[in-house]
Amino acid sequence: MFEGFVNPGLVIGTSLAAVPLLIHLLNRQRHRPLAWGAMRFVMAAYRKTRRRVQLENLLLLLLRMGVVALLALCVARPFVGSDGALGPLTEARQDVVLVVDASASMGYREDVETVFERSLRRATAFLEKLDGPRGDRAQLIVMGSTPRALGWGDPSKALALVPTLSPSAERADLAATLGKVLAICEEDASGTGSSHVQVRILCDLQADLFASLRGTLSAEDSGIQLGEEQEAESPGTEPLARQHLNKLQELGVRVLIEDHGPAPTNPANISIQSVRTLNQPIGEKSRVQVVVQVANHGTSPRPAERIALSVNGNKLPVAQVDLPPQGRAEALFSFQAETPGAQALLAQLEGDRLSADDSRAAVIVVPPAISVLVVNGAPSTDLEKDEVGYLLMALEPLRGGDGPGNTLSAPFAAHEIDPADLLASSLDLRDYDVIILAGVSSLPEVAVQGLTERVASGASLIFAMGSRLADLEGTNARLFRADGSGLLPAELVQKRSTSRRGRYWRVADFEETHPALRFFAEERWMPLLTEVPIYSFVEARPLEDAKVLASLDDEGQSPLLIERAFDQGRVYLWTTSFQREWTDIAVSPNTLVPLVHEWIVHAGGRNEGPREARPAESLGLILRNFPRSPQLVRPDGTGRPLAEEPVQQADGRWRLATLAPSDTALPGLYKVQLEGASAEPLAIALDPRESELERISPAALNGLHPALALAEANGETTGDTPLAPRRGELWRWLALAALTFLVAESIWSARLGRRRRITA
Amino acid sequence: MASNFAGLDPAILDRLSSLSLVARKVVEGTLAGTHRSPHRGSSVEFAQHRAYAPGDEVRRIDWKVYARSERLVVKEYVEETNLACNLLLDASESMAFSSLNWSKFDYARWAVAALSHLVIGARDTAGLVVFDAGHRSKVPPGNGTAQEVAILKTLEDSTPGGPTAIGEVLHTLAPRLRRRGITMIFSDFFDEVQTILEGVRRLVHQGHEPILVQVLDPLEKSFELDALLKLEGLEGAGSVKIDPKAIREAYLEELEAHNQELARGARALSVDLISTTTDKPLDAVLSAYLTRRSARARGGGR
Repeated sequence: MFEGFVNPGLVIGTSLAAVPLLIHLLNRQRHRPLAWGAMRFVMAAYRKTRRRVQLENLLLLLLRMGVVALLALCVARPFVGSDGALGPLTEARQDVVLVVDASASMGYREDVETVFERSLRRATAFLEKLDGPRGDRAQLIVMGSTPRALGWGDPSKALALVPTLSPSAERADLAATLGKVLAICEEDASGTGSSHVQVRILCDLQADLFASLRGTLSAEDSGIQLGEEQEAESPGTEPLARQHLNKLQELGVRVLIEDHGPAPTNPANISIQSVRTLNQPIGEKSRVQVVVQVANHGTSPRPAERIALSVNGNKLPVAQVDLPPQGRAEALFSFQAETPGAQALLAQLEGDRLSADDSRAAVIVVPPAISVLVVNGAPSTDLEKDEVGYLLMALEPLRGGDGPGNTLSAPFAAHEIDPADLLASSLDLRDYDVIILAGVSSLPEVAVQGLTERVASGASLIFAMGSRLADLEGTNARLFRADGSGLLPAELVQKRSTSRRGRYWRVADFEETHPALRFFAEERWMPLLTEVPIYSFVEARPLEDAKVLASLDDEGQSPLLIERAFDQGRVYLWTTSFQREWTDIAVSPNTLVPLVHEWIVHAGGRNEGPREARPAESLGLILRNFPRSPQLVRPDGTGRPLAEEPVQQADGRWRLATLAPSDTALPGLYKVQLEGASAEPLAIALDPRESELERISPAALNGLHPALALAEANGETTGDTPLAPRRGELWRWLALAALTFLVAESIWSARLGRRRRITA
Repeated sequence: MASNFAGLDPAILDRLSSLSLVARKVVEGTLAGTHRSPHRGSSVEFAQHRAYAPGDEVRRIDWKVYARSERLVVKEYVEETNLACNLLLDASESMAFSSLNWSKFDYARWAVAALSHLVIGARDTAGLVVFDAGHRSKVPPGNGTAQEVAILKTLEDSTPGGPTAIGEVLHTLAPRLRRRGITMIFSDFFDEVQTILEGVRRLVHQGHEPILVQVLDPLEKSFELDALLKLEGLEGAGSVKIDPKAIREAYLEELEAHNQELARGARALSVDLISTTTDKPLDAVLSAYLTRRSARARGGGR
């Protein structure tokens, strides 16, 4: 009679219908004996009324049992198919989950309305067909980078929410959305093993949306950043979206995809894919080279596309590029960063049908000149004998008059001192990002302490050998610890020298990918490092966690350059010197300059923290100085004060409170305004994959997964795929029947009571 | 008929220790009302004089004759007392039923005791038969204090028990009751009505004047029972589990039909039928006797 029950566990309640019967049977045991004289009349009356009384009592009993049984069934909520005998009585309630794709690609404008507006129109029409009083329920899910479920209940509530929806700049996460849908269907199934929730996704059929359904998850795909609610995916496993669809299929749920996208399979669209720097500018007046990459997603060429770039609100000359079909092109821009700091960039195209990707914000941080403290262990007026003469020349290139190549920026601010000055009260090591101890023979304990604290808080320390560094044992005693608590990354063993006329040593091997040495990885520059003679060096035994960045060609492949992390900072050991007597590197500017530059830039570099994020992603901000009264200003001019207390880091910089996803929903340039300081820019940029509007074909979509089906825009399915059967519940009729039984029992009981009442 | 209710209230009578006390109390109560004995042991109509014999009551001496003739003579009337009253008491088991502190049998016994006291006190003769399915004990008609004592003793020694067969008993007793007079039958009459009426008819044919006194318990008459009951019949009439409320209407119909049939039959035989319950005062019973006695003394008879 019934196909099943929504609450099958409550069916056992129908056994309570036996309670009235039990009470009736128990009452039969409770007849009080009474001796009676007028028995002949009792027997006559009993014979006369027995059948009628039995029928009356039986009817009363059946009514009472019926009430209990019907109420229990009502609570268990049985359902039948619409073609069953009880089908005409069923309610055929509908439960609908409507997913609206709110990703950036839905902003594509075709004719007068965007794809998103068209989807909302369809959502409204669909919801209006549902009947809340009948028990129909609807839930809206807005699909973005994090799907948002907007209430589960009366369709009128969902209908009221539709006009409030707006497209986002996010990339849609189909897996997370299917996860939410699955949770709803599993709750609906409630252990019955099947769900009758109708699921519809209104989208533009963007092929990228369904990319996660294809094949097995690769190691690369598993590295995609996921939202908080998403499960981690392991390489080699089935993609999460497919796993969710498998479970939906087990529940008997089909996900209907409604296509509201533009007509062409490959809608015309150009977009700004990226804005990045070609070089690494440092210091004031440094030259910044910016590449803006533009993509043509359409099938027609787009010649002479104009690209504009503004830097801190100042427009640079417009560039033009020719875009081949389905191709990319780059435009190069160059500007001078007058002052170090974050530079706000905004690249723009002339608008097309998808405006969200026609501009792109970026922030490039030009750090100030790296402050270098050079402690000269052997100062001399003779450049050749001075421990750091050549080094300083490399750190501070000459500045000339006008003309190209002469207006050089100064990436480093070098300051030379004697070792004794380390104890000077006027010296604050916190002013320096890199400290070089060149040939320093001895260090007082106080100086060692100060250096240790400074390195631990984030600075870099370079130990370079030198002529005056004779007492290796003493140096080890002061600076090396086997447990790694000392500053030296390696134990100094012995000095080795060779005559200039004899064999010399050269660099045999080096880390080609290390930022300090990758310049020499290029084949044409490699000999600059590997062919330079080294006449003296100090053998060193590195600690286990120290990294040898370059080694010599001696029999033991002695390390030349060793790097080791020390708390927040880094320590380097240069086992030769910057003095000519030790190596010809000192007098090879083609070697020394790039070596020192790359090395010091790497050693002095700071993690400025991300200044860019995707829409609706969290973003933190790290500042050098204490932020006073920070205020966030969004691209649309709205904003809010950032009231949370900033936290000072170990390196002395300040971390502002992380911006919530709701703060970063809009793409574009953001500002954090500070009292008494320049505003700090942030950039929120679209995921470039949203610009790829290529649509998946219906055949490809239907072939992705059996639980997916393409629906026509009017809601019906294509081909022979029928709509999910509607499950009809009978609980209202059962409730009505129970109520009828209850009323009948009351009336019958009252009637019997009146008839049997003892009148005075 | 007004009565001294306090003296006839069964609840008060129940507290009396002996039947003789009951009898006296009832009679006094009845006679304290409007009933004065219409006779003081003698007929009311003057018939003749006869010579005074020692023992005659002094008040019967005709003093006018003595004044005239100096002869002591007593007056004689048309009928001398010596009206016979046969008292038949049903002692079957059904008479043992009680919903009060006293049973139907107790009530009937009080009535019989009171009547015997009244009858004997009026110099009529009274006799007693205690019966159930047959007669159990008998006190032949007589008068005088000793007769009353015998009647009272027999009453006190009697207990209800045994089956009922009123009709057969009356049929059998009718020819055996030598002294014709008023025959009062105290019973609940829970038997076949036609059989009962056959017996009564036999009494009538034998020249008796039956008065049927139906004694019922108020609960038997109302059937106001609430709880589920297993009624166990006295006199071995079986048992049945019932919901009293469910069969009450039918029970009352059956009882009413039985009583109606009995009353019709009694009317047809010109026999008085008094129906009372054990919670009512006894004056109705005594009044019935006294009324019948007065009618008979006037020669109205039956």
